[in-house]
Amino acid sequence: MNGPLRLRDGEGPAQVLMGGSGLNVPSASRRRALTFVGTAAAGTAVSGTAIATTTASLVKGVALCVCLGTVGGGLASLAVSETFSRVEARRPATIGSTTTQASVRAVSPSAPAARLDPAPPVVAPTAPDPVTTREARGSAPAPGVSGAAAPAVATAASAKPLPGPSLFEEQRSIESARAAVARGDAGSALATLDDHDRAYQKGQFGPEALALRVEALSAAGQLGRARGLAAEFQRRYPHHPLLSRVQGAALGVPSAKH
Amino acid sequence: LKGSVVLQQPLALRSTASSSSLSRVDEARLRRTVDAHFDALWRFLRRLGIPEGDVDDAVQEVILVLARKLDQVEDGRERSFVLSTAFRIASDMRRAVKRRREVDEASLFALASQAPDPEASAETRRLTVLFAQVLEQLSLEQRAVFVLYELEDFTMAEIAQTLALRPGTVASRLRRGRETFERLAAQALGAGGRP
Repeated sequence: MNGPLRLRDGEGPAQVLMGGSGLNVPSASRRRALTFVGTAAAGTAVSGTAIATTTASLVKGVALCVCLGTVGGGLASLAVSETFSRVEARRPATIGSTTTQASVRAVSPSAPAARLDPAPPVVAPTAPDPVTTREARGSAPAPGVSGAAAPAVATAASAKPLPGPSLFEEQRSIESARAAVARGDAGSALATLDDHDRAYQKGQFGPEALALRVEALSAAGQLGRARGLAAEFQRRYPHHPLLSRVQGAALGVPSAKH
Repeated sequence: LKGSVVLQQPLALRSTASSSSLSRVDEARLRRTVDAHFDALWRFLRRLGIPEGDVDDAVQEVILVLARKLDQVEDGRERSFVLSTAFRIASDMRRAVKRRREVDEASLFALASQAPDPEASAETRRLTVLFAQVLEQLSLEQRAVFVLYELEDFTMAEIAQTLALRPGTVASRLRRGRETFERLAAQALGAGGRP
């Protein structure tokens, strides 16, 4: 099955634009991935005496709760909040007894985002602590959480409180501005964003509001203001996913989708 | 569904393997596989629109799946398996974040954090931004085929195998993706092709 001539080998605007396709792979990411290999292998291997389980979640902004087992079955818990990246590990254990049950939740090609078959109970009196994704990335372990002498039962506080009415209202405000930008009504979008900024000075959608303002200003032909705000966006949110969209808008590139 | 991505049983998997069986992981092979295909994996995830800050999480998800399935992956098919898994995980991430934020998918998954190299020339920086903007306009399915063909030098047969698609579906997605890319490139750069 032969394919067409690749665009970079052709001529015209597409060939020129392919010149912007370069992408540097961070060496730190490679190191983290290779470090994680050991964790993944340990979490998947079945030794006959132990199963370590690890689940890496994709959802940002939740908490990791580590509960420490103590002699006699009592539990002390230590909650460690994290701003980004949730890591869950769950390994119910009975201290000094004979059983440890483990379950793994992960994605697999045969069952996307589904819970895998539960592993059978196995005897694991000295099972190693699960190594979390965060730990594999080099973060310091939580104080008091250490090796086999203190078997850990880690559970994730994945329940996220429902957003309050103000968050929904703020989100509706952003949606309204977005819809106005999408239909080319820059004036209405800017008015909505002015109202939004007044009502939600410490809102949850600050970057989105600023990005929409840049797009609205660009659509209104106010490229100077748009570029100024784009620079502010880059300064305040240098790694935000909307950055290239904002930069494109400030350069006068039309946004085809909203 | 005809033409849809079917990853129930990736072609890279040995057909006789049980998908639910756990076995001791060949850590050395896992490490070799990750090391050999890491760059392609990272770039593919980014170009599918995963924000740079989330790519490491996605990579780890891929590694977890790979660790569980590696004994079922035929020798020489590791790259296909890694990238097919990456595609599915990227799709899942996009849906998850879209549900969570309930805002425009395209806005969330702009390739935006592909920040241009500050040392690069102004023209290169502009091209980088424009390229990201244009790539965003392709659907995820078109984008996957476009990226594998145009940027990762996959053959169309390899893409069909990796994404578990019919050859005709690969051809049509590539054609539509290229048409969109060429049209938007001309709009952005003008007929002369200069920014």
